[in-house]
Amino acid sequence: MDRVWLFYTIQVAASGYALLRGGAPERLTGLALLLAAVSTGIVQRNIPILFAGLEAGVMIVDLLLLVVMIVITLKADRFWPAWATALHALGTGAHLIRAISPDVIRLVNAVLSAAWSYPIVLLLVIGTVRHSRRIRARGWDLDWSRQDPTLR
Amino acid sequence: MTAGRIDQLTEAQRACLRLVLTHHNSKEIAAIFGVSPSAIDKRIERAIQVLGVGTRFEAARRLQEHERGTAIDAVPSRKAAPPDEPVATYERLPSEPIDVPIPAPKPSNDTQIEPWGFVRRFLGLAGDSGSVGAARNRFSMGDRLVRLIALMGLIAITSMALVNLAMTLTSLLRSNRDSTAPIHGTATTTPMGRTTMLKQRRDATDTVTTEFLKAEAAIDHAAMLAASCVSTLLQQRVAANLPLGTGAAALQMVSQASFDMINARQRFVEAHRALVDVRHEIGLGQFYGYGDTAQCPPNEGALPAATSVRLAAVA
Repeated sequence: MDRVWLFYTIQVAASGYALLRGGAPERLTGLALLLAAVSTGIVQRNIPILFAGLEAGVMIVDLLLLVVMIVITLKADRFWPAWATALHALGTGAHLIRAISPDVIRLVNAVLSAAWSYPIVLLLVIGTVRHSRRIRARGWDLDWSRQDPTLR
Repeated sequence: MTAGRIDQLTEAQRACLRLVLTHHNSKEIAAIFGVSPSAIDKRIERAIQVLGVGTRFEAARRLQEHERGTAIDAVPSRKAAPPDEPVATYERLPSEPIDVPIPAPKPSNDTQIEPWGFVRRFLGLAGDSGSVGAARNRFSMGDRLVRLIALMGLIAITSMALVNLAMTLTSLLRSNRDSTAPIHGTATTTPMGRTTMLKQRRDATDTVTTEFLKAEAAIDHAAMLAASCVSTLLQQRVAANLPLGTGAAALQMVSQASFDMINARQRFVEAHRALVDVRHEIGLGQFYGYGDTAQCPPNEGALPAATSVRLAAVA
């Protein structure tokens, strides 16, 4: 239980930092991660009601977040979203596998499900830090790669 | 600076200032707009007050700066500006009461209607960010997708290797704790003819496994029969045209028994999982994998039933 609150604290702090100091990809990711964490918390509160519904709800939240992150990876003028998206995709895949076959490799499942989120949050913070450094150094930082006219 | 105050000028005032800039006097401006010179003077004075400047020329220059967006040095000559331009651009206003400054700044082209403007700026799509320069990530979307998938594969393999390493180390350490004979390195090493601790454990595990699976199959079979019995009772009452209450008590008992059997069966299912854990705990994890042996197919099936049971219910 404490681990959950610890994670929420870290997530809120990181998203807050990204929203304040980040470029558009950081802000968008910060907001998306925050919403996903809150939604997952809401969905999981219905545990006694419907077990099948729990899995579906968490899966939907994961998939939505994955779509957002893939779009950011494809369009943003950054490199860190690719890593974060890869991690999240693997985490979503782990959920999927567990939904299909509940007992395969239980310990590894537990590790996979919980452990992905921390590196993703860390990557967001690192991305924001580097972005703010670039802004401080040269005053500008493109948000989306197609904002560079030479790239189209 | 005075951008906000310039926004408070009415269109009429601006029109006058533009003509002031081109050195028209109030009488000429009045003639152009078809109003009295004093009305023009009032407009210009109001504009001067709003902008907080000293003369009408200063106000006109400020307006021009704002409209051009650049600083100007020299006053343009009168001859350069065509005198009929204002007439073509500005309609004659039918009535001209006291000039009232526009209370809110007029929305200019670059900020949209408020909520969408905020969303656009949040997403970095406003186009006014002033961020220009070369993109750092120059990969196309297709390239990025390929790299993303490659990255996923890399991370997956790395983490699986790490987890496998950790599990192996853990079971090695656990076996070493009971320090009789050391674990042989590879999984395929056969015992050397002496009874080692490992062989003892493997024998014990295999015996327990066989017995357990037999019991599990039996309880599963029993649950199947009991449930089928309940169904048969219900159907045969109908087939024999017996009244609804016939054998109601017995039906309840059999149904309860069936319920209990299914619960007992569930306990066996859970015990099955727990026993797999026990297998790991005693250090045999690397020999059996994660429940992926011949006796434990992925769906955790028991040994195949000796006889195939045909349920009466699905006759």
